[in-house]
Amino acid sequence: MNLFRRLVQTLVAVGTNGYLLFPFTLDIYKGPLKAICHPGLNCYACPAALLSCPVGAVQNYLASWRASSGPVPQLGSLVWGYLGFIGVMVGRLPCGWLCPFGFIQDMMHKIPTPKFSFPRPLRWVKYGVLVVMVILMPLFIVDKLGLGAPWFCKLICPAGTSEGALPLLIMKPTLWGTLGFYFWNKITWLILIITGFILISRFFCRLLCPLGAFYSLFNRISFVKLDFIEGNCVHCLACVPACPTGVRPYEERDSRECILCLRCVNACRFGALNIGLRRPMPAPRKHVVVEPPHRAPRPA
Amino acid sequence: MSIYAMHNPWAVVLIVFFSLLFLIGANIGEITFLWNLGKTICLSCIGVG
Repeated sequence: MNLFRRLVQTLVAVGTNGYLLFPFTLDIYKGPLKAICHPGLNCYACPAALLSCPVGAVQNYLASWRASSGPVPQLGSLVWGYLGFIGVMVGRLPCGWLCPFGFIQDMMHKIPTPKFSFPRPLRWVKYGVLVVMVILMPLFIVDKLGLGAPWFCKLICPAGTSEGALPLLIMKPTLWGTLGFYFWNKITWLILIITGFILISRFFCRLLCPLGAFYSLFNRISFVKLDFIEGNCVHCLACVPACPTGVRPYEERDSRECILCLRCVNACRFGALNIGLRRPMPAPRKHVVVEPPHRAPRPA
Repeated sequence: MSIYAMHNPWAVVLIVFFSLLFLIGANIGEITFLWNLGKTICLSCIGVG
């Protein structure tokens, strides 16, 4: 299963970043596929990217809604609807299977160094990033023209720096002259985050990713979920070190941190964990037919 | 879908809600906005400014 997941991650990462003409055109892809969002974090400024980034898109909708000309303000309902639909169907599964940046993290965490555990209270930070940097700052920090900025992209996004900024700066050296504080700030964040995910499994997903934070809101109701069969569990704890996001599947049902990578399912030798659909209805009660007590026939 | 509605009603409500949200976005020109956005080099992503 893990090999299959690696294959899917590779195919998605390569397939959605498959614009191989960029070294010749020295430009990004501008075709119609850019009207579709990637289900994972994948910078649309990446020269090879075929799809748009959902986090960048929602920030830009919110940052420029005052300038939208139609009768209904464009607040990104297209992308919110798309992401919400995915969330309700499969929860955080895209983080484990489809996100190119998650794939990069998985690969880089294999670099042999001492590994550390993630301080669990810090998992709440990503919800703050989602609300403050992705929603509130683009909405309310605006210039004289009423235009905001995609602050998460501008200040932190390591996918933007690694997949977008660095290749573009190599492709277009004239851009170097325009760089300032924001670029060096982002390079600093990138170095910190790369160090983080070499040392701590899925560091960025657990600490900062606003997309993971949004998907995680649906983990408790999503149709696809991790099934725990209590009767099969022998409490060997083999699932605990297998989990890249530090979930204890035997005691945390439908955890918001679960990315449905199914490594715990592989690790469990007793069949206590499996992927499944949320139970369609409560288990039916047994219909017991109570026989009337047998009476002996009256003597004549 | 109908049997899921019996035990997982919120998920069904949310599926309908997000589908409507998506359709509204598609009908008010957000696809064009997204495409135009994708055609530009994101200066914020690079760190220009």
